[in-house]
Amino acid sequence: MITGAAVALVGGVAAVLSVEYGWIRGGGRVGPGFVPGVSASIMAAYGTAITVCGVVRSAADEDPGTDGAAPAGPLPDEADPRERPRDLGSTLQVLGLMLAAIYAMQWLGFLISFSILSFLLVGVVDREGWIRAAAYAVAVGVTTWIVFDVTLGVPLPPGTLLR
Amino acid sequence: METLQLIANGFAQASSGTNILFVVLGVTLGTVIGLLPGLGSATGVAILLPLTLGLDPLTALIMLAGLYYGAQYGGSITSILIATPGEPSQVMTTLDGYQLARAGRAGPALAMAAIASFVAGTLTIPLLMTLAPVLGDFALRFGPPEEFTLMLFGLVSVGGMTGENRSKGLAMAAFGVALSTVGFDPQTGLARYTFGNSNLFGGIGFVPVIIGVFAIGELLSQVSSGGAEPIRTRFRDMLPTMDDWRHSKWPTIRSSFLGFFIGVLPGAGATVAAFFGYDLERRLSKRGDQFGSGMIEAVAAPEAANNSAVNGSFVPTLTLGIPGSATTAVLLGALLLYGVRPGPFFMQEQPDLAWGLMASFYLGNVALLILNLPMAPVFALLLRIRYVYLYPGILVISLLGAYAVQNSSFAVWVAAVFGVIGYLMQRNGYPAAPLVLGLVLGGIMEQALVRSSSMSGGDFTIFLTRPISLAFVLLSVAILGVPTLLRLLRTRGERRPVEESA
Repeated sequence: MITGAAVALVGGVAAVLSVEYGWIRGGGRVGPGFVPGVSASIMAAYGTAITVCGVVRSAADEDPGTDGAAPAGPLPDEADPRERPRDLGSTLQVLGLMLAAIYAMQWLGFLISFSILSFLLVGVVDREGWIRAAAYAVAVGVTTWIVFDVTLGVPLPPGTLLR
Repeated sequence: METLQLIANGFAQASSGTNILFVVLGVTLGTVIGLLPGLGSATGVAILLPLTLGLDPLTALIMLAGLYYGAQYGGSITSILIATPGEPSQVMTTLDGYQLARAGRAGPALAMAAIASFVAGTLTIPLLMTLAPVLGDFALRFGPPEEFTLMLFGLVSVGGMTGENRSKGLAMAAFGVALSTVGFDPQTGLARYTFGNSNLFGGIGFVPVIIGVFAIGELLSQVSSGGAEPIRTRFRDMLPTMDDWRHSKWPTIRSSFLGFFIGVLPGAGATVAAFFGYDLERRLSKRGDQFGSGMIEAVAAPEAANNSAVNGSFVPTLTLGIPGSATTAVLLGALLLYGVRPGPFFMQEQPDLAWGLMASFYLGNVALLILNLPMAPVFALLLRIRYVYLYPGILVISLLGAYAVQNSSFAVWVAAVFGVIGYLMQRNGYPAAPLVLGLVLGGIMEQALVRSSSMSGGDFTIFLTRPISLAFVLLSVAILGVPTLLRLLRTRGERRPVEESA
């Protein structure tokens, strides 16, 4: 229901923005706002449908008198939710560390910031021991450098501190 | 008879000892490149192209064919093992391939991907050899209206792939198309949805998005559910069974032909072919409702389709000199580099090279099967590693893959943001494949629509007055309308007995 509303909101905002790009140009031809506008409107329409179906289903679930007989056929929203996360904290840790590593990349460069990321993921998030974490981080850094920088010639960002 | 003689000559030239050595080298290097996310087959061929400089033209082309097929298969390996498709055409392989890997059947999935690609090559390279001139003329009749309606049909049918969640699938397809419009409008130069950020002027690349929604989204999901357990299976379970082949045989054959004819048409080629191949088999199969949960034929069909689509896309490349896809554009560049000038008279003027080239595609296919089929169980052993040691590496390589496409740090942010979006989509039952298809096809669709609009002076009935585009419009309407109609009829049927009993 919430995700449906989010989809509808993003689609709605994008559709409104597309109007200023111009849907139709001179001679009735397609303008630069046409495809963004139509696709965003479709997104908003389906997002709204998903939200409405979710609301109707919630109402039916709460009302025992209806005997669950609200709209027949499969409902589009939250039809098969996955089991609740066992460890949302770990996900947030991984996500936070990943974003921090990407942010640090501008100063430390790709190799160092992502080696530190590997070290923290193995050592802190998964508590595999500092020595293993350090060995793992070095292995990731060296392998990445050999494969991308040395062999394939893909220049890895060095970072301003080390330039 | 003369054609057979030319084909025999082509094979004789292509299968010399030196050429076989270079095709083996090409397949091996290509497979390694393909294993790295972000470096798809077109990029892989472009990176390794300098290695072939200085070789005899035919030997170089044979090595490039090996590189190409190897890179394609390398992408399939990561799609199946770690849910990281290297390029859009491998997205459909990921859906069931990864589920098979999680169920301890990575070996059969990898082997079937190689076999399906080989069968597709075996069936469609002769078509390329014999029908190329005829099909080249047909491709010329495929104008912008036909191109647009074909893409529309692809996007609409993707909604049906998502089973119960049609609304979610279609919403994500529309989201993908909307995302494809970010950046400068190619017609007017107007910046759309960029909010003054210069990184967005060039648009949102689909490789970082694919890496985000598939690889990082899946990784975050695995972490939140406690991490995947290492998969320990017996060696013999890593080999495909006769049952696997029985299930995959016809889907492979059907998707090979379907993929080839889609590949001939201008447009997105292998990606659209893989989507159609998967969707066709989902509709035809008795266990189509289980697609997405790890069906072997759902790996074979898109792999056969995307492989044969590339052979199909060589039809306009070789007969008209127009590349049918990004990969053929790179290979066309390589051909020009070696003094080969494809065009309407290529086959008449340079028969040795033309037939040698086609024979080299087949040799590339054979080398891929011989080298990689025995390796499938070995690749599958990767999943025996504890996830704790697997996911940090996957994360680093994925983000680096996103960076490597354009050497852009912004692409790394895009991959991370779409990783979060992919995670939320997974948790709430939103399919990722329609989003990717929308993003890949959106730009091509818009160009085709603008050109159609210019052709007709803004009259949208142009899509209804041309037979091929009308057929695609009708098919799209049928796919959208028929399930809704059936549901309404079912609802009425269920209500009637209740009303009668009341």
